[in-house]
Amino acid sequence: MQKERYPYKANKTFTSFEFQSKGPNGTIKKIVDYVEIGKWKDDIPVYNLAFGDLDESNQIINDLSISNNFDRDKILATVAITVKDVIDYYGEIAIHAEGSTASRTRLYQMGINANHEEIKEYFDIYGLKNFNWREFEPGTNYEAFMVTKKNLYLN
Amino acid sequence: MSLKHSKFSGNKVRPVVGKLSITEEAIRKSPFIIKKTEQAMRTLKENPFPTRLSRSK
Repeated sequence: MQKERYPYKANKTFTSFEFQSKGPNGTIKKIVDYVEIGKWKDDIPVYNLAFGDLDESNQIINDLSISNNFDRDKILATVAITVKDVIDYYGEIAIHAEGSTASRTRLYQMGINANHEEIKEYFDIYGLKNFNWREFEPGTNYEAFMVTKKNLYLN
Repeated sequence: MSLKHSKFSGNKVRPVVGKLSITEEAIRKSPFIIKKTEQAMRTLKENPFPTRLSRSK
C-alpha cells in the first residue's frame, strides 16, 4: 500500500487505532475500532470496523460529523492500513464494514475502490448485495463489506 | 497527545503501539460504537455466510 497516509498509533491488542486528520479545519483525532461481533464460515471470528471522530472532552466517538479537512483519501488510506494490521495480527478473521448511513457506506466503497489494486494483493473482499455475499467488484454498489486475508475461502 | 510517526520497516508501515487518547472501555461505551456494533450484528445475522460464495467473474 503506497498511498499517502497519516501516522497512526495502535493499542496493545490491535483493536483500536488513532490518527490525526490535519487540514484547514484544524486537527481532528480519528479512531478506528474493531469489535468482535460473531462468527462467519468455519467459525472464523468477525470483527466490525467502526470509524469516527474522537470527542476528547466527553471521551466518546462520534460519527456523522463532516470534518471537511480535504483529506478524505488520506484518511481512507489510513483506515485501510489498519485493516491490514488487524488481519496480520489476528490471522484468520473476517472484518466487516458498513456505514451508519448509505452515504457512509458509499464512502467505505470509495476507499476500497481507490485502494483496490493494493488491497487485493493482501485481501479478499466481499460485498453484500441483495442479501448475497459476493466477490467485490469495483463500480458495484454494496450494502456492506467483508474482508479476509487472501485465499482464506476462495481456493 | 501528539502522535509519533509510524515506523517504517522496509516497505512495511507499522503503527506505534501504545496508549491512545481514549481507553478501549470508553470507545466501547460510545453510543455510536454501540449502534454500529448492533447494526453489524444484525447485518451478519440476516445475511450469513453463503454455502458457496458467488464469484462475480
